Amino acid sequence: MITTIATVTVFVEDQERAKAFYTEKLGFELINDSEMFPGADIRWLTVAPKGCPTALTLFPMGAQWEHYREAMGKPQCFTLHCDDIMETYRELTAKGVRFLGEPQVQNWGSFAMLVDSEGNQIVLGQRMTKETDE
Amino acid sequence: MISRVGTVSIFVEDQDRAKAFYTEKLGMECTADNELWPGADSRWLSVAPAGAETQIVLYKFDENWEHYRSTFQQSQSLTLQCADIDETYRLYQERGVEFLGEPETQFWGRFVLMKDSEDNTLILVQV
Repeated sequence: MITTIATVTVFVEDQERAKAFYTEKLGFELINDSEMFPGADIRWLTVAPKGCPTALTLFPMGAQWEHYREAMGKPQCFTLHCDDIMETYRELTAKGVRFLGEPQVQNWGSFAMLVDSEGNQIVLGQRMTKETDE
Repeated sequence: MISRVGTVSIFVEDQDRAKAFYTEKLGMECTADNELWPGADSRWLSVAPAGAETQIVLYKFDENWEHYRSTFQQSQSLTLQCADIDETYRLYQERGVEFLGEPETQFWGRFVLMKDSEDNTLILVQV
């Protein structure tokens, strides 16, 4: 039985730059940073929010994943959550993270769109209540 | 501080069919199934492995996500983990899940590819 969503891939142009952004700016932990296979020029690079079992794979766009090229630098199909969006917005802005506007309140919670080092647009959200509530 | 990966979307054609697949075949729990907005013909539909905080949103493809169109019915950019891939492979096969081959061993663990009800390819791993 499936127990975990282990990884979600973020396609990047520059793995080193993306690693610095996700660990130093967003405060993620580095989970893996190893050769993809012996002699490879790309790395198996994963990061995750502290304690989160689902990691982000920072993967260079390439042959097997061309079907995702069009999505690079556009709104991404995954979201990041925090407990206090105003505080997180201030904290990340102070570290130089670019947002497309200030947090907005919706009926399901609040969100702001941040931009990573690769130009990917990512929804940062805070739920009003439990995940399972409307 | 960012505390978790909140959601990841999988684009689908038929939300009812996808909901049945992810809950009945893969054994995930439905964590939300609401109108996207009053009167909308698509729903905010999410599923997750039991106890998981990160949700899979089964999103009915629309024009806001045109930049993901070429990913539809292709390999999806997420991995789903199980504790015992041979057992999971047998269980899901019994339930009629279509696999592309048998579990293979790599230096990092084992994996097998499977199809969801929408013809998306999913990667099942044991690490």
